[in-house]
Amino acid sequence: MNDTPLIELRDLSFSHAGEQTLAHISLSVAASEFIAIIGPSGCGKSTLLRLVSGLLMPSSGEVLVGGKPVTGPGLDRAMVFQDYSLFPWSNCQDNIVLALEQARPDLSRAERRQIADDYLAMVGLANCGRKLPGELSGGMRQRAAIARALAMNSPILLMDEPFGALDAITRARQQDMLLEIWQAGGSLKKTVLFVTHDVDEALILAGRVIVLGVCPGHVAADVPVDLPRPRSRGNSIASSQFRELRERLLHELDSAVARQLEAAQENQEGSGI
Amino acid sequence: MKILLVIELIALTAAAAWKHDWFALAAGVLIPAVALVRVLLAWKKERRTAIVDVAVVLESFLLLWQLTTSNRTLLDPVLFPTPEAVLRLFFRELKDMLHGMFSSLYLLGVAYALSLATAIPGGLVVGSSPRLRNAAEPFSKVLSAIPPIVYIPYAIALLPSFKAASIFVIWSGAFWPVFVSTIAGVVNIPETLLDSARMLHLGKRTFILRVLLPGAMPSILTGASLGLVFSFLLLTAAELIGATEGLGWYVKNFSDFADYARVVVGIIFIGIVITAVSAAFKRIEKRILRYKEAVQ
Repeated sequence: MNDTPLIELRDLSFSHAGEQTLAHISLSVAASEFIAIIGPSGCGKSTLLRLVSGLLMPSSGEVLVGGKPVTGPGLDRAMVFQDYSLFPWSNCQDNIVLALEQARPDLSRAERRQIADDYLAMVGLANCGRKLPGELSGGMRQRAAIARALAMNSPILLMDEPFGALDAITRARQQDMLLEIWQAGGSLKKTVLFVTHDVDEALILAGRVIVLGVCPGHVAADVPVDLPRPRSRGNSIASSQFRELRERLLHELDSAVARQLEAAQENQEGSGI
Repeated sequence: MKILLVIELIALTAAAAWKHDWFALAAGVLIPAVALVRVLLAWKKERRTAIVDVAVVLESFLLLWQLTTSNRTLLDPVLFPTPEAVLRLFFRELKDMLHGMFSSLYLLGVAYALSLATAIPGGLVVGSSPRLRNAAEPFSKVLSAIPPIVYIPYAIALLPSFKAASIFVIWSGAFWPVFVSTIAGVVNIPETLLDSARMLHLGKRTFILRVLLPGAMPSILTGASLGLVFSFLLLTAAELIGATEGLGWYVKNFSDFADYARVVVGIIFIGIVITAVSAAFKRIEKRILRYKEAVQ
C-alpha cells in the first residue's frame, strides 16, 4: 500500500428536507485503519457512514474510495447495521450464500456453503447455519450479520452501531470477538469505520476516534488512540491512558451536546416571539 | 351444555324410534358418539368444550330440521326436503357432483393460477418503483372497485366460449386483490432490509426473487386468500349464468326443475368443496410463512 488514503471525504456536506445534517467534512482514512465515529444522537454519524456506503449521495463534496468517487454501494464495502439486516425468511447459511452469489461469482455452490460455515464458525455460530434469524438471540443475529459482511471479503467494513441494541455483557463479548478477528488479519487488516455512541466501545476498538459535533454535523475532534495492540477489553480498559482518553472524549461530547442545547434554545427564542 | 345434549339425544332417539325413523336414530346416536370420542381424545379443556358446543348446535339443527320436515303438513315437502332424503341423495349424486367439481376446479385453477402469475410479478415490479406505483394507482383504484360480476354478461358475449369468459371473469376478480397486496407488501418491506440488500450488491433478478418476493410474501398471501374467495364467488356466479356443467350449474339446473332436494345437496357439497380448498390454502400459507413462528 502506498500513501494515498483508501477512503477520502472531501468537503462533504449533506442536506435533507432543507436541513443540513453534515457540513464540510474532510477526512482521510488509510488502509487497515480502525476508526470509530462517535457523537451525540442527531449529529449525522449514521448519515456519514451511509454516504461512504453509497446508500446516500452527498449534497456537495465527494467520497473517494481507492481514489474513485463513490456512486453507489459497491463490493469493496460491506456493511453491518444495528439490527434487522439478515433476511428473516432464510437461514443463516443461506443469508451468507446469497451475499456470496454476487460477491464471489467464481465459486461453486458447495464452496459458498463451505465459506458460509467457516465464517459462522469464526463468529462462534458453528452449528447455527440451519437456524433462522428469528430463532437466534439479538447478539447471535449480529454475529451472523458480521459473518455475512466478513464473508464478502470486502477490504472496507462499515459498522453502524452494530452492538447498540445488545445488553452490556453481550456487547463486551462481541467487542472482544471483533477485535480478535480484526487483529488476526495481520498485514491485510480490514479498514473499519465503526459508528457508536459509546465512548468505551470506541476506545477499546479503534486506533483513531472521530468526534462529530452538531448543528450541523462537523468533525469536532480527531483523536488518535495509542493504546497498545494486540488489544482486548481486559488489557485496555483499566489503564491510566484509557482513562485520560475517555475524559477527553467525554469532554468533547459534552461540549458538543452543550452547543446543541444552546442552538436549540436560540431557535426557540427566535421563533417564539 | 352436556345436559342439553343428553336431553336432545333422548328426544331425538325417542322420536325416531317411535316413528321407525332409522336415519334420525342413526344421527341421534352417531353425532353424540363422535363428539364423545373426540372429547376423550382432546387434551385441552377449551377444545373439549368447543367440541361439545359444536355437537349441541349440530344436533339441535338436525333435530329442528327433522321435526319440521317429517310432519309433511307443516312445511312444503318440495321446498323443504327431510335430512334423510338429503343424505340419501347426497350419496346417490356424489358421482355427478364430483364430475361437476372437477369441471369447476379446472376453471378455477386455470383462472386463479393465471391471476397469481400476472398479479405477483406485476405487483413486484410496480411496487419497487415509485414512479410506476403512482402511475398505476388511479387505474387499480377504479378497476378494482368494479365488481367483476358485472363483466359476466359482457364477457360471455365478447369471448368465444363460456370457458374463456369465466376464466377472464375469475382472473379479473382475483387479480386486483393480489396485485394491490403485492404492491403494499413491497412498500412495507423494512427500509433496513432493503438497505442491507443494496449493500450486498444483488443483481436485479436476484433482488426481486430473493428479497422483494419473500419480503412481500405475507401481504401477497393475504391478498391471494381474498382472491381465492372472490374466485369461488365469480366461478359459481358465472356457472349459474352460462355453464353446462360444474357446481354452480348443478344447483341452477335442478332449481329450474324445482328439484330442491338436489339443490340443497348441491349447496352442501359446494360448501364442503370450498371449505376443503380454503383449508388446503391455509396449510400452504402456514408452511410458506413458517419462518415467522421462529421469532423469539
